[in-house]
Amino acid sequence: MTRWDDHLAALLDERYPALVSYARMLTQGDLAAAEDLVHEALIKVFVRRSRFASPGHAEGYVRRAIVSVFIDGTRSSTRRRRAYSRSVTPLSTPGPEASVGLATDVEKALAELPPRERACIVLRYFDDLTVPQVARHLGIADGTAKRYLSDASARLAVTLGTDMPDIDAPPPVRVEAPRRSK
Amino acid sequence: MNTTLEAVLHDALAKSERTHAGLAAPSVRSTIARKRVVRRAAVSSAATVGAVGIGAGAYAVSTGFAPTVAPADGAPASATVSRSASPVAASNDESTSAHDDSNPSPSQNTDTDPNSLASRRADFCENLPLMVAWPEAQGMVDPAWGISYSQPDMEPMFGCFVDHNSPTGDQSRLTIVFTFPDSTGTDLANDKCVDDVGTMTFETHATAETSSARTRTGIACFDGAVVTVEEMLPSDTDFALTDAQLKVPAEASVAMAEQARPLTP
Repeated sequence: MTRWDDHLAALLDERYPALVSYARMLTQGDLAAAEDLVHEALIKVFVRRSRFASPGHAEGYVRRAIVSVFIDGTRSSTRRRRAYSRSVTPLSTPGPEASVGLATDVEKALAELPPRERACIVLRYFDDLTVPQVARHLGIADGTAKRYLSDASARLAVTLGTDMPDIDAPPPVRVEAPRRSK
Repeated sequence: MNTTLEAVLHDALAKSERTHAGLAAPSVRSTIARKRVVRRAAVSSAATVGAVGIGAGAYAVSTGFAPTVAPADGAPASATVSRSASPVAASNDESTSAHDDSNPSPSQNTDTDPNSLASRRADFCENLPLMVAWPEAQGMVDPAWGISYSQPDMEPMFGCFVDHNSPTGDQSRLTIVFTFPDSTGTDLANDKCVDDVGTMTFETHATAETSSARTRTGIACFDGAVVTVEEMLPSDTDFALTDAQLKVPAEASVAMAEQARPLTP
């Protein structure tokens, strides 16, 4: 049986950049804050669980934990201080991420959303959860999740110039790209 | 407009992943391993009073300051839980079958010698300043449990459990753990003890768990010693301790850190 730390090693080796990128969608594009979120989520998941079917299975738990940690507000006062100091720096300040282009635009658009709406968008569109699943994960009513998603999607569609999505549509069946072998 | 929001979001995520392709992953394994040991031991301590040790995933936790236990992968490690009031013979501990003779541990000392490490650990736990600094706890604290842990790539740690009569409720656990990082600035499980030379830092974390237990942790750092006080209780129970009730024993225990240092593995 594969041990928890084997899955951890595989996850970090193969999917760490993906996890950080996922977390960045929640952290206003802040790379350090995203790494902190991933760090806390990894600890939260792997301290409590020993058995995973695969690294992908573990990744699912970690992605949910990233959103939970983000929402729970469990971040340390240190990070809050850092976030405060960052908040006085305009997001548009040119930096190493400036070349990201569209990603930066999307992160900026997401950053304009309240945290819970942002979390709803991430769970709905990056994790392909249904509205009830989003609601259950965030511990809110289905109607509330639907309103968050509707409001947030409308704002994002305007900001990013996209079609208005149907949030009630079933999540698409996504074909995962093969994972990079070690 | 013919671009979907979903496509734009996924495109952004894919670009971000490519941008961060070379990002170095953090070293979280040792932190996770340490917290797993503490968590398993804390959760199991009530059920194993005077009983046999339990397996703790890749590692093993045993009662009664049993001989060193090796993890499944053969890396030398030691994880021991003790209860001074009722030491359990090592022969009762199924985990001792994994005894690693190549890494003898001080925990092999028995409780019969008052100068043994086991006895000194027990004495230390029973005299933690928790009862002094936290009057509500006086008379309510069951004889302390101790846990020690060591592994080559981890900071040595030593800690005490306050048993089930803790002020937080009859199903809760309080754990006070002393850790001594090799260097200052160590980020212990996001403990953020980044200013731990000469200054006291303290903070608490409360997490809403979906598993069987939830924890709230207070961390105090001073001069290279990290003290965590953790309140652990069933997931359907509200946290009982105030910030001050976590902070007082943590800060008071920091004063005893130098006494704890020689008790670590």
